[in-house]
Amino acid sequence: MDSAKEGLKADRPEKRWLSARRAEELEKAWRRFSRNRLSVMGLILVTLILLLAWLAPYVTPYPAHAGAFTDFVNSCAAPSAEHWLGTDNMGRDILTRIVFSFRGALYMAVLVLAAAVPVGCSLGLLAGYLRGTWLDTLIMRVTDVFLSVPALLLALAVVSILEPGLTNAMIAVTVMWWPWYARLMYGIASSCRNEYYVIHAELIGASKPHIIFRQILPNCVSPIFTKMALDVGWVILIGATLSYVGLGEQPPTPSLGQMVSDGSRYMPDAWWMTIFPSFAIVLIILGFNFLGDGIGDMLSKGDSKYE
Amino acid sequence: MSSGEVNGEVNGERILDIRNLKLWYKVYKGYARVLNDVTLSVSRGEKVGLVGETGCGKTTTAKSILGIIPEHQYVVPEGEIYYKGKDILRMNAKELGQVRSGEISMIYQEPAAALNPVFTVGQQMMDVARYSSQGAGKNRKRHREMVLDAIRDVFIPDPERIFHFYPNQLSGGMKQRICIAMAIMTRRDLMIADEPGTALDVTIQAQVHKILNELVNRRHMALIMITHSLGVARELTDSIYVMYAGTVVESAPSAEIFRRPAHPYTIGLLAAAPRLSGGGIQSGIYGSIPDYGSPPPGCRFEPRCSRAGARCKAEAPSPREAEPGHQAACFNM
Amino acid sequence: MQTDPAAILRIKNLKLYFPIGRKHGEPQYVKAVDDVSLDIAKGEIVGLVGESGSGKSTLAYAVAGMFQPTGGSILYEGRELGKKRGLDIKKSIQIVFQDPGSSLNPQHTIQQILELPLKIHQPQMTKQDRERRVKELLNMVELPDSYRFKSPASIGGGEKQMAAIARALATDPRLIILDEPTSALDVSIQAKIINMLLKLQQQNHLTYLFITHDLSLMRNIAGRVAILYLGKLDEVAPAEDFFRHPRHPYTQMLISSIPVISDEEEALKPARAESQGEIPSPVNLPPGCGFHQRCRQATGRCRSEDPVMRPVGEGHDVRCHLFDDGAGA
Repeated sequence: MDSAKEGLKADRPEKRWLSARRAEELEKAWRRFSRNRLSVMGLILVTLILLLAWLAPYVTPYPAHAGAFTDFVNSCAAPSAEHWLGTDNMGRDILTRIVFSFRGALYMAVLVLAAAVPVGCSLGLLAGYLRGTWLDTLIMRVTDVFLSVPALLLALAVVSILEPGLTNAMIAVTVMWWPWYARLMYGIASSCRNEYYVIHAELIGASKPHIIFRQILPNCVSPIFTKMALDVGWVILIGATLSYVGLGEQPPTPSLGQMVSDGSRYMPDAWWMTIFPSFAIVLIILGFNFLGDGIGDMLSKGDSKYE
Repeated sequence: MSSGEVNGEVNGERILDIRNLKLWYKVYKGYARVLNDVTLSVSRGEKVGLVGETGCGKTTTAKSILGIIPEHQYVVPEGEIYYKGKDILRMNAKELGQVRSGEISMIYQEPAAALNPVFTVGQQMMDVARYSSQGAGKNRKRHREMVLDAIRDVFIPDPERIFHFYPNQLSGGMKQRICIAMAIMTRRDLMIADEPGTALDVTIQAQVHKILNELVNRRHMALIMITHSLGVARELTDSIYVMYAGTVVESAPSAEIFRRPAHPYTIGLLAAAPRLSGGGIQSGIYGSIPDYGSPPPGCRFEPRCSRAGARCKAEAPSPREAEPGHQAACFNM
Repeated sequence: MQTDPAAILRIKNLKLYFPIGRKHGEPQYVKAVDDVSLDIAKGEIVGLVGESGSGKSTLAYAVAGMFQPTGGSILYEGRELGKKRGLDIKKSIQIVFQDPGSSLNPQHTIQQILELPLKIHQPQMTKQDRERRVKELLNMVELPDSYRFKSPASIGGGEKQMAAIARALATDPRLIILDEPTSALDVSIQAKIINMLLKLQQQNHLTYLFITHDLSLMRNIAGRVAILYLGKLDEVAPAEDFFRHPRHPYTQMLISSIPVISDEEEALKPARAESQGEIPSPVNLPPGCGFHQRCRQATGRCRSEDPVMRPVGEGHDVRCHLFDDGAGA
């Protein structure tokens, strides 16, 4: 890449040609992405959620309600002009708490993926490249062991050994999440390993790190990105499940699972306490899934020329 | 222009007549003008070769004859495809289905992809017998006989045994024979063979071509042989249409094309082909096929042509007679 | 077979067997290459011809260093090529693969692709040197300089193959293995690439081991032709003699099967050698000559005893019982 850039400085016309090409490529990528209207919807949804989470203190009607606030006069109030989505048993505004709980959920998703993806990918990449050796067997069997334990059970076990809390929930989810990336990466890397450009690099004497990181890795990133986008939603769901059973974010910080759990005691009379947070979970998952599908479409260049 | 003259005397009934066909695929922001000017006719008992290199529109032509391009993907700004006097492009779904299932058969390049791996050869051929118009009725015994006859026709010894084989138990050559057997099992008038030997080894290819040739002759069918190899066309066909970038650039009786090629593209193609007699390979043709999104306004071969002049840039040549029965679309013959 | 002192590459009784599991407790092998001996002289173009499953690519890959021989040896300039090859050997022997789509990394630019061998084999080169050399390599294969910044996906199949050839030339090799370099391309592009390869061979004093299934092509490039069938060499001869007087029944069948475009070529096809039978599976080969099931002239002996290579003329060897008594032409 460096030398290419240097070359660009040398010949100016090249530069213009390349950037025109880049623009065209971006346009094509957007076309592939936007061919499915749901992907665009996902993008809008996700952008909205991210903005809301970021600007939570400014856009929510009662920012103070995000903490240990009580107003028993207004407890369990039905949706109204003051409280669009009603209030909970402590009299806190549900809309406010939902928006604030996005922060924890996204925070968790980002950190979990930031930890699980590098670990899983490097192990999968290594095993894929060394396919057929003892190291491959070791890595993949360990991965299999993790995959064979039901994921939620594993997370529950980890959190109950440690202490309930957001950090420990994240550790738990990370522990159950990396093997999927190892699996995915292993599949791509071990098939990429047999491509002739990798074989050629080996034949002319390229070093192993070069082959792994410069030849194989760049060809594996697009499925990984797609899976990451899809996974944000699922990590949030698992996080919500953990907090539903009281092993995630601890009160008074709002979290979607805990809101659903608290509200379920007031069903069906104060239905808004359960229904709206649940609906928020559904929206987040849908948003990231649609977005992930769109990214998948965008990165798959295998579509026919005449579409 | 009248395409009937291409073949001098025509012995049988005219089966297929494509006239000045243009077919454009719909693409983002416009059209890919793939077929530009295809004129081709086949009569009963005649074997016609459609020769051209990758991306010249041979397969698109075959697909348009069968009417199997999804309707929303293309437009036909001009031209007709007459099958026994009826325009395929204007047929309704029922008529088209009738033509596809009972009149025209097709053989593909990849026999492995044309056979379903989870059914035995016999089961798949029985289905063809059942759903074809000639196999009418539910007489399984009669269907079975049709199938066994067809397998015998492609010179496979022991058809009873092959009947129970799954496609993956057969070699590539055997699979292609089964595909041929399926294609000729019921009475068809036109056979389109899309590179039937290309995926096979040369000795096996020779066998497949021989079988195909014999069957088409014996059944008095019309054959359109699509191939990239002039040699294959020379061995199997009566007349040859050379295609370049969606245009039929030259058409003549087979022997004539090799004796006196008229179009610069055909000449280049012949020069580029390695000869068994040695003597090196000549230069080939520089450049590549044009972008179908914005093809050259004049002759589509002009950017690669050594003879091109100013007129070729501006105007697309239409086929002219080089000799009786021999036409080429070029200003500089 | 007489040994050639000028040989750059000597393949001696090479065997490449691949295990495919067990049957009745006995380990089963595919004998992809079985007891093949072939010498290649400096500056020569040797054509290795065979149909699918003949083991021609396996043989080529073994020379390139992808497989370890099960038996026999490969000598490069008199040195046996062992398990670990030195960088100098890797520099001297290069390979061009059949499918240019898969042999160039789609995520790299042509510049990066051509630079890699330079970085490995000439680490002392500066960036500017490398850039100059990349331009030079592109010129050698008649591609414009601007192609440095293109990605393989954005150029045509023929151009990709030219880039792959340029990559093979980057290290100044002595021997290039060409594994069906044009079989995925149209003839008009094939002509250009073949002529370029021949020119490069002259200019750079290269030796080619050219693998193909296309005999007509072979006729026009190779000095010597070797026919491989089911992992064994059947016939080796100088090209002229090979096509004028093919001896082995398989060679005759092969030549007579080729679709040709002129009467002159038609006349070269051996009469009464029409193709019949199928290529048997390389697993569990029948005893005797591998070709006897398809051979019109097979006798009882062919069914039981595998023939050995015998000279029948100047540099012309055949492995067939028909020529056992030394009866040449």
